[in-house]
Amino acid sequence: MTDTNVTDMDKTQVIDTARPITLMWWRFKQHKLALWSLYLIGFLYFVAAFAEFLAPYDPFKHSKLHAYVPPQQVHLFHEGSFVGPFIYGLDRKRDPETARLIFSEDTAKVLPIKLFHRGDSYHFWGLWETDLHLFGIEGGRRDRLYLLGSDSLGRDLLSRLIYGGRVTLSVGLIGVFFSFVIGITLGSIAGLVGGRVDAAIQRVAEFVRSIPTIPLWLGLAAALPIHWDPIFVYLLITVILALIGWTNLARVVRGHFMTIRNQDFVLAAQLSGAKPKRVVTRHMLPSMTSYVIAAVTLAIPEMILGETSLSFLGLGLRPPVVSWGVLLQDAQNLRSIALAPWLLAPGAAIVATILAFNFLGDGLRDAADPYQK
Amino acid sequence: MRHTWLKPATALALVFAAQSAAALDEAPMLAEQVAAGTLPPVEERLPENPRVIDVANSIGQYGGTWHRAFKGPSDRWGPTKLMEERVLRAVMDADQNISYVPGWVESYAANEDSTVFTFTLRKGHRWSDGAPVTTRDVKFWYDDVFNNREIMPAVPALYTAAGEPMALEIVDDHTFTVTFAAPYPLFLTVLAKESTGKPGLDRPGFIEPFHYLKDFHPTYADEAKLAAVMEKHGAKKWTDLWDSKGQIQAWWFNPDMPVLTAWRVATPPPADTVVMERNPYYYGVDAEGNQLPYIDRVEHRLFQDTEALNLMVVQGEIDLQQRHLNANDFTLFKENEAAGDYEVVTWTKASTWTIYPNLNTPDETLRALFDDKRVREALNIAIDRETINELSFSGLGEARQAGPVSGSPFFDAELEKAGTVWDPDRANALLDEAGLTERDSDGFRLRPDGKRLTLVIETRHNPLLSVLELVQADWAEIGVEALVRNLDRTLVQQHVETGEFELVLDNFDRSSIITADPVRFLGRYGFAHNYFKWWSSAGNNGVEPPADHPIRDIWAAWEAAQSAGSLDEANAHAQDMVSVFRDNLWTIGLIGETPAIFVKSNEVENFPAGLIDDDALRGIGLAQAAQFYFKQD
Repeated sequence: MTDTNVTDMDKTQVIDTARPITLMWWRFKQHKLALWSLYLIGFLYFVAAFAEFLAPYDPFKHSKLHAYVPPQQVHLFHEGSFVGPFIYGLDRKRDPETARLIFSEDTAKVLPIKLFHRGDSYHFWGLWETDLHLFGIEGGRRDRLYLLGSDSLGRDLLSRLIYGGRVTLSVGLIGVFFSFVIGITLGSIAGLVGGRVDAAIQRVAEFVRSIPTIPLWLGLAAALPIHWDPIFVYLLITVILALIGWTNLARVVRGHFMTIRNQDFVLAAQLSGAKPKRVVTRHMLPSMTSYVIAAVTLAIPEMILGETSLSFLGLGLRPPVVSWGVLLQDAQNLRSIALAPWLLAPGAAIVATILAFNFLGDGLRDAADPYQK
Repeated sequence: MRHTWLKPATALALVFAAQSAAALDEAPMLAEQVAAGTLPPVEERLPENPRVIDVANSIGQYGGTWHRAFKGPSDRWGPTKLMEERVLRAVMDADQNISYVPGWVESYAANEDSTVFTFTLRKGHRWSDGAPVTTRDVKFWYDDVFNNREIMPAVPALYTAAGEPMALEIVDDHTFTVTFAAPYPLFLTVLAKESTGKPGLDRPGFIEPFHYLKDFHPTYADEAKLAAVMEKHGAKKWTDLWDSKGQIQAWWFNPDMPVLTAWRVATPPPADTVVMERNPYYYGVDAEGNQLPYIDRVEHRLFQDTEALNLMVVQGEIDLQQRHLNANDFTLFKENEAAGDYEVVTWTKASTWTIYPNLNTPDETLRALFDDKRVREALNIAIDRETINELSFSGLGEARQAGPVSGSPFFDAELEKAGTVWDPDRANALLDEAGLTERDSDGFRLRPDGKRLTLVIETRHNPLLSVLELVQADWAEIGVEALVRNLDRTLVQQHVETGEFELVLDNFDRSSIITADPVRFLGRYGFAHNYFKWWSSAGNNGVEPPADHPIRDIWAAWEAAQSAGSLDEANAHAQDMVSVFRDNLWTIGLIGETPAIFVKSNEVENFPAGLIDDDALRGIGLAQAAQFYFKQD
C-alpha cells in the first residue's frame, strides 16, 4: 500500500484518502510492543497448530528411568572440538536416604541433536501417519532429550507445553469469543432500538444473571455421560459460561449506544442515508472499540487461569488432558517448587501469552482511533 | 494367630503397679491444683488398679504442648485416634506381634463356647469430671442408647449372633456380662476396633456418663429443661443433641462432656486452634506409677490446603503428625529434616492401592467380561507395577495384589503375588481366549456387542492420577482403552454406593486384622457393592448374585467364621475366606505396604518406628499416645 518513492505531498494525499483499516494498521505498526506481541501470538498459534511436528516427543509417553530430570544443557564442544549441538547422556542415582533421584551428565556419551529426526509416530492432523519431528537426538531407545526437563512420570515437559498450548489457546478462547459476539449484538440492538426490545433484552439479561451457577454445574456434573472426552465437556462449559457471561458487556454497550445515538456524527450518518447496520458497524461500534478490546484482553487470562477451577466437580480440565492450566496445577505445590522448579515453566508461557494479549489489545486500542492526535 | 488374653509382661506390670500405688506421681500442673485445693490428690483420682501402659523406650517427663494440624470441624478422626479408649486394645511389640490388653475395663473373659463375656470395671475409676464410673453407666448405655431406636435405628450386625442382638446383664456395681444367642468368638476382636455402635469416642461403647447425659435424654430429663437445651443448640429433635455431630454427646464439640480419655477438649471447634488438655482423672500410669499422659496439652491448628500443612512441616511447626501427610512428599520432608528440626519416621500402611472392576456395573456386556476370570487376570498382568512403584511412589511401596499385608496373621504369600507378574503377551493371549479377538482400526479390541472395549476408571485421589495414566498406557498395549476420570469425592462415593461405575481406584485397607472388619473382602465399597448389600441386608436391598456365583463362597466362609465355636476355628474360616479371594482374583491390586509418613519433632520421645498403620489397629493409637513425651531441659 505504501510506496517508498512517494513524496511528502503524495503522502498527505495517501493519508487523506486511505481507508480506516489501512490507517489503523499504520498506526498499529508504530506501537512496537504491540507489533512484537502480535508476532509472538502468531508464533504461539503456529506452534500449537504444528504441535505434533514441533514437539520432540509424544507428550504422554512416560519413561521409567527419567522422572524429574532437570533441563539438560546443550553443548557445542566435546573435549575441545566442535561437534555441533549435542547433549551428554544421563547418569541416574537414587539417594538411599531421601529417595531423591539425582541425575548427572555422562560425559563419555555424546548425543547429537539432529534436525528432521524420526521419533515417536503420530497422526498429523488426523490425516496421515508419520514419525518426523523437527528435532531429536540420536542414540539408544532409552536416551531422550529434555530441554525443559521432565515431570514426575518422565515425560518431556517441552512436548507437553507445546501440546498444552494447543488446548489452552483454542478451546479456552472459544468461550471468550462467543460471549463477546452475543454481548455486543444484544447490547447494540437494545441500545439502538430501545423501547420494548430493550426492556425484553434487559429482563433476559437479569434472568440469566440470577441463575445460581454452582447448582447448575453440580447438575451438569451429574448429568454428563462419563465417557465424554474431557476436552469436549470443557468446551461445553466454556460455551455455557459465555451464555451467562455476555450480560455485563451487553449492558455497557447498551448504555454507550444510548448516549451516542443522538450525537451529531450518528445523526449525520443517518441523514446521509446510511442503513442501520452501517451506522452501527462503521460509526457507533468503532467509538467504543477501546473498551471492548480492553475487556477482551482481560477476559483471556481469566479464562486460561480458570481452566482448572471447575475441576473439583470433574468439569474443568484435569489430567490426563494436557493444557497449560493443568500443567501449572501440577506444579503448584511445595514439592515441585523445592525439588523440580522447572515444572513452573508453563507459568512463564502463560505470563508471556497474557502480556502479549494485553499489549496487543493496547496497540489495537490506540490504533482503533487513527485520527486521534 | 498369636492372640493371648493378657500378655504375661503386662500382667506382671499390673501386679507391680498395684503394689506401688503409694508411689503415684502426677504432672506439675495438676500438683499445683492439688496444692491449691481445687483437685483431689492423685491417689483419689486414680483407680485402685490403674492400667499400666508400657512405654516404648523410657519413662517420660511431664509437660509440653503437642502441636499438630487439623482440617476443620469434620476432621475429628485425627484427634480421636490419638486418645480413644476401648474395652480392650491392640498392642504390638517390636516383632510386630499383635496382642490385646484390657482398656478401660480391669479384666475380661469369655466362657468356653464364646457365648457369655464377662467384664469387670476398675474400682475407683472416675470420669473426667470426677464422678465414679460404675455399671450404672453401662446399663444406661445399653437401655437408653443401644436399645433406643431413635438414636440407633438398627442394631449393627457386628453386635448380633445368629441374628439376635447381644443381651447385657449387670451383675454388681463393677461387673457386667454380655450374652449372645450363639457362639461369637470374634466378638473381642471386633470390640478392639469398633467398640459398640459407631467407632470412636463419640460412642465409647458399653458406657456413657449417666450422671451427665441423663439431663439430655427424654427418659430421665425434665421436659422443659431439655426443650431449653434443644432451643439453645438449634436442635429440632432431641436426638440431634446426640451422636458424633451432636452438640451434647460429641466430646469434640462439648467441653463439658465427661470422658475417659487421656485428654479432653478445652477449646472445641470451630476454633482456629482446637486445644485439648490433660484429663486429671485419666486411669493410665507408667510402670513407675506416674499418671499419664506425659504431655500437658495438644493443640490442633486449622489448615485449609495440604500445601499449607506441608509448609508448617518444613518450618518445624508440627511436633508429631501423620494424618494428611502424603507419601509423595517423602523426599521433600526428608530433605528439610535439619531445617525443621524434625525426623521422618515411617510405619507400614496395611493397605493396597487397588482398581476394582465392578461386578455390578449396569452395562451387561461389560459385567459379563468382568465376571470372566481370564479378563480379570489379563487386566492384572498387563500392568507393569514396578514402573508404577518407581515413578509414582519413589520406589517406596511394594508391587502386590490386594489382600492381607505382611505381618498380618492372615498373610497369604501366594495371594500377595497373584496377578502381579508383568506379562503383556500372556495378557493378550488370555483376552483372545476370552473371545475378544476382533479389533478396530485404532488397534483396540471390540466387545462381543461390537463396541470398542473402553473402561472408565474413576477416582477421587488426585495424587494418584499419575498411577492411572501408567495403567492406561499398559492397557493400551493389550488393546484395552482406559478412560481416566478424576471426580469429586461425593460423586465417586455416590457411584460406588449405587454400583454405577465401571472401575474405581481406591484403597484396599483394613488388611491386617481382617477379622475385625472383613468388608473389603466381602465386596463392600468395591468389586461387588450391590451383591454385598443384598447379603448384608438378608435380601432386602441390593442385587442378588446368580446362584452359582463364587462370591457366595466368600460369604459362606465369613458366615462360618462368625458362628464358629472357637477363636481358632473362626480364624481358620477367615483364612478360607482369604483363599477364596485369592482364587477368584476379583481385584487389580497395584502398590501396597507403602510407608505411612510421620513427621516427629526431635524433642518428641517414645514414638516407635515401623508399626503397622491400620484402621483395625486404630492408626497412631497403636503407639499409645499417652506415653509420648517431650524432652525437657
